[in-house]
Amino acid sequence: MNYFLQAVMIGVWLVILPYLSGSFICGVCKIQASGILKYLAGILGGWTIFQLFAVFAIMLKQTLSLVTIVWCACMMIMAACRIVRFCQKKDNIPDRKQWKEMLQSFSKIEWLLVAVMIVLVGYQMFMYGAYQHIDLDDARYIANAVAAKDTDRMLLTHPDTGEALTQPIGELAKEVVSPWSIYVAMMSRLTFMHPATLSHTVLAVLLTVLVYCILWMISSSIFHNDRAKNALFVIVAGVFNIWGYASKYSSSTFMMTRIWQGKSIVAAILIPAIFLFMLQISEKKQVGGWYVFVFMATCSSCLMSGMGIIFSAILVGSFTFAYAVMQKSWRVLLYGIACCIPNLIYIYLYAGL
Amino acid sequence: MIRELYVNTIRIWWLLEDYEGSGTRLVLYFACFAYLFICNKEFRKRLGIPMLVLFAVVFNPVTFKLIWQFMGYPYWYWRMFWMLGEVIIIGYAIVDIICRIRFKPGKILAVIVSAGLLVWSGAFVYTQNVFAEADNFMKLPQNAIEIADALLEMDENPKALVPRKIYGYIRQYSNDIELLYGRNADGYTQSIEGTEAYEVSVMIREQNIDYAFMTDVCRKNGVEFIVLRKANAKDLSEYGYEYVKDVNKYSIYRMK
Repeated sequence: MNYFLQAVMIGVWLVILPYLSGSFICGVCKIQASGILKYLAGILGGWTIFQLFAVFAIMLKQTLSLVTIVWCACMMIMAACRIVRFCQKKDNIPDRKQWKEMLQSFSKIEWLLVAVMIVLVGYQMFMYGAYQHIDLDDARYIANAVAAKDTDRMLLTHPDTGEALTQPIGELAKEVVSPWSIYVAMMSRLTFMHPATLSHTVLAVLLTVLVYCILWMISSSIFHNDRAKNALFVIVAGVFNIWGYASKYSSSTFMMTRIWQGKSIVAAILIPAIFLFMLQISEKKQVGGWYVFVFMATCSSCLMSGMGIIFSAILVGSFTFAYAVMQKSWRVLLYGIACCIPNLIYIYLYAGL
Repeated sequence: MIRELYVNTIRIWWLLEDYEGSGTRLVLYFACFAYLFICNKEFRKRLGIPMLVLFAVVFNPVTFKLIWQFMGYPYWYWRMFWMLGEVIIIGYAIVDIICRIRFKPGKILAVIVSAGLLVWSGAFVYTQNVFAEADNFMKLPQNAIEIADALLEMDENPKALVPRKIYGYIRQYSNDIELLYGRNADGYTQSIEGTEAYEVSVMIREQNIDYAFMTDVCRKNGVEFIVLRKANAKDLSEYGYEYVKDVNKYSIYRMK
């Protein structure tokens, strides 16, 4: 029963709610989105809302319960808006016949490539599910989450000793602007799971799927929705990552061994996500809405790690600067700068801590 | 000034060398980028030129200095190379090349060569050194969990001194256990170098334990339990700690 409840809660908080709120965000941004883009939007939206509220709550020494209530309320309001809109105006949800037609449109080679792709991604999910890689950086991250979950105080317990603190100290102070461990604590409360189980098993598997969803969307954008090319691209990425242990520093190594940590999420999910959104912006379709996605990606990067604050700003800055020069448009550059405002605020706060 | 820029450029190069191990993947990456930039107009417009701007920022000694000042440690700069988007560029180039080949046998050969290149240039991640079968869903060493459970059985909020091999996991498991020191003895979170607790950690690490000093520090800090590797186990009753039990390869002592 306990496992069943946990599974339901994972479904609700990590799958259904992000999907519904993502649909809402895509609707507001007027973006024709696929199911996976809606899910990505919901995940990024959730991370953004958390980051925008949690940092100030931590600085004001508020409780995790308050952050959890505010976050849940925001996500539920977005999901409710989506449900209401769905009831008012039914979207084009494919019926059985359309599904059948879509599946029949797959050629043999497409089936083969998709099957190989599923095997490769499934293999990585299985490895994260059944095997373990122990990384001692978790001694801080997971211990922070465990302490926040148990004490309701955020970043006010020494992760190494358990001593109660009056304010975050040392490296802990840097986590005030990048409180990913507190997000894990919140999720572990909502799903009734231990933060270590949530991170090392559930998030590891879910985030692996998300990585390849993003790569599929990048490929869709590059190869204009050619299914065979998309599947081949994901297969190449899968092989690249499985044989990606070229050194202990590479982005593949971080993705394959400790994807649950904030810095790895920057490397494996948020940097590719920014590439994806920039590719969409370069297509010059529904451009305004995509900047909202870029904003969510930069905010999410700030949530993950101190380096994430810098990386997302550099990436967005480089791309929008190049696009602005190429398109001779100041507006592109201004939008880019606007997307990096959170980075500027958090860099200022980070430097001051 | 010029010398500093030169030195920082060399440092970036060293970090880049470290970043990709043998460097084969990096060569592959830049070859793929060059191919796409020359042969694919769409790539040039959408990704190529923005990425040249990105290269100018990443491989820049001035950026290196700024990041160094900001993070307080130059070593972290290798993480900047995550922004190169290797998997995207290499994937793009390989699919592009395969799709340009018109003959089926040529396509198959290109797939095999590409797969071979990726495998040869990297290293398999799922080896025994990196991954092991999970002990539990928490993916924490069973040893550490059993010791934590033993401590919690004896006290609701125990404070303990535990060996280096397990101190990183105890507090991942339970917030109810306090430790004399953890990874802060290795300089993480906030270094405790210069304190008595640090001296104890060094003694235990170097297997050169002054039991009188260790127990004295523990008593002063309210440490109720001492966990030692069986190899270091000793009768501590004369120092005010009594043997309680063994858990796997460790012995647990409790303050009298």
